[in-house]
Amino acid sequence: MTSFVVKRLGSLVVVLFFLTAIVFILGKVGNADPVRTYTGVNASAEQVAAARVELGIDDPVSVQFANFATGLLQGDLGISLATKRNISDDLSSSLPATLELALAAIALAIVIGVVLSALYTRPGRVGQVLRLVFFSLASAPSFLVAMLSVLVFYKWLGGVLPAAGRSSFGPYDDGTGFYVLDGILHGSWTYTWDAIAHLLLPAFAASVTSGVALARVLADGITSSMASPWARTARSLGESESAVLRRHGLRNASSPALSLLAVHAGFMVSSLVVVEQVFSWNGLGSYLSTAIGVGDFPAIAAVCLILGAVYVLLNTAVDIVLAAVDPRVRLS
Amino acid sequence: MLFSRRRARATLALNALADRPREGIWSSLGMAERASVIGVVAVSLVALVGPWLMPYSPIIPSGDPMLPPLSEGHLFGTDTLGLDMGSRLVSGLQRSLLAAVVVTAVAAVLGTFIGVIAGFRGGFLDNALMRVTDLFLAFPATIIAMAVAAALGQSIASAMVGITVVWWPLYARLVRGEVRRVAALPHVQAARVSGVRGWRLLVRHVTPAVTPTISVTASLDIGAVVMTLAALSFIGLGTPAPAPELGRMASDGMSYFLNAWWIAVLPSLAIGLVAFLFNYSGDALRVLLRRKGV
Repeated sequence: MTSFVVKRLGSLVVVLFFLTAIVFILGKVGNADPVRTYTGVNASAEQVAAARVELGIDDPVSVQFANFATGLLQGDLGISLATKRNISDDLSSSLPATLELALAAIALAIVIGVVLSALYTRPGRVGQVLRLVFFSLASAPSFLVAMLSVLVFYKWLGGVLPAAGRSSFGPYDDGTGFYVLDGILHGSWTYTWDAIAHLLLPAFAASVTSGVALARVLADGITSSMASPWARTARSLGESESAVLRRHGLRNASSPALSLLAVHAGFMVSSLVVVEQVFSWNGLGSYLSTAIGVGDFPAIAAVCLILGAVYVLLNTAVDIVLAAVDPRVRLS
Repeated sequence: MLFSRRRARATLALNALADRPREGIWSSLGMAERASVIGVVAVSLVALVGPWLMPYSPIIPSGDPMLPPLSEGHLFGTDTLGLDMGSRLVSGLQRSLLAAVVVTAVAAVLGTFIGVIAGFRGGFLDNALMRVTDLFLAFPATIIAMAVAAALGQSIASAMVGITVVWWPLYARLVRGEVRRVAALPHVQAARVSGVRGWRLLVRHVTPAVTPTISVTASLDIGAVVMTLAALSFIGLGTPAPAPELGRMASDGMSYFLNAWWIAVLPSLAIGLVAFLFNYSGDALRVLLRRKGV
């Protein structure tokens, strides 16, 4: 087990290194001229020269990369060409926003997965209709799901759920940036519930695809392990059907479901970027698309690095958890 | 005498083959699968010839702005500039599908090239190439595609390059496995024993056996590529307006969403429909081919 963890962490470092290198190289070979974006089109020659020094453009590439990488390790993501501020400061409010949405989306995906898998295993008219609805939603692009949910829950049902922003009240001054948590910490139920209500629609739009995929894997796993010899043995020993489901069915189905969730984390990250735009959610995605609009590559690179690192870390964590649960993974 | 007997036996074998009920792919498809295959053909036809049949230009205003769908003369309504939505949808469909086909083809050819070299040569080269492939597979695909496209500047070409960069490793892995499997098959062994080596063995005996798998897989991936392209152009990495492109139309329409839902929703629906049709018929074909042992 230790050697597996060491190996896995080793490859994590390698992947993170190359991720950094690729993003750095992209910034060097890209079409955009960083100095011009930084100073504006009308800058004088002196201003351009000063900006070149400030951005370190004339340093050897190896030095630039070393600075970039060490900066990353210290949490310094560089300077935004558009806002001319430290990107880390820009992101300090949008990172919690995206993380909160991502956590809500993962939780919702698990809820959808478990509820739907029950429908998959127990066929019936209602189940069939629901399955069709969810299957179509799952193959739709996430911004379509987002738009449709806004139309239904905000426009046609007269605003039962809010369709924009994170809160009707704005942040607490001493808040953590996670609004639901802030509400709980301050003991304000109105605030907490309002934050949760704002989370529901975007989280649904970002999670429905993963939820449906999860449901299929869970349903497959449960059906096959409920028909297995060990389930039969458990039944013959007099265990009730629900105990067999809980102790053998769910437990055996959970390991493929977990690895599927890890794969889908990357998918969810990219749909979050899109969904945030529809709901004017001030997270990494909105920051990213603003940066794309003005050609601010350091900011784009920073967001891509953060999202990429989260994805890679999550995958490693899931691999280690799987290996702890299932000895076969350790050997392969 | 001997010759004719051998020929007779061969004829018998051929007859036996012919007598066996040959089940076509079409007749073994269910109703829903058939509908989706017809849908794929219809969508491709519309994309192919549609733009020349539409009455209005996709980039010249042709009516009052923000006409709702089913208005007179504008079946799908008009957008904020008075451009005909129907014409824009059809042109956008053409652009998106064409881009997706090109991306898939380039990625498949690139992946096949690398996979064939790795699988056929083996040894150090195989190890090195597969390490690189695994590295790319460990990255979050869409994020890297976004970074590449953003670095190259806003255009559909950079979005296409971005997606190709993350798409080839899938084919490289697949092809490498296939090549190693095929290289152990009797006909390749026989060719090798008869003295066929190197390039000729690869091109004449290995590659043809790998081609069906890779071409089927690639053609089924088009739906996923359409979705990824749409996501990139939705966040601004694609053709700048007013050129019609489905993802971009959807994100531009977001500003008027609550007053004129159709400007944003219709392009999104088109993307969803294309992806659904390709994915659904693709899944059906995949299952069928596996059953037939291709």
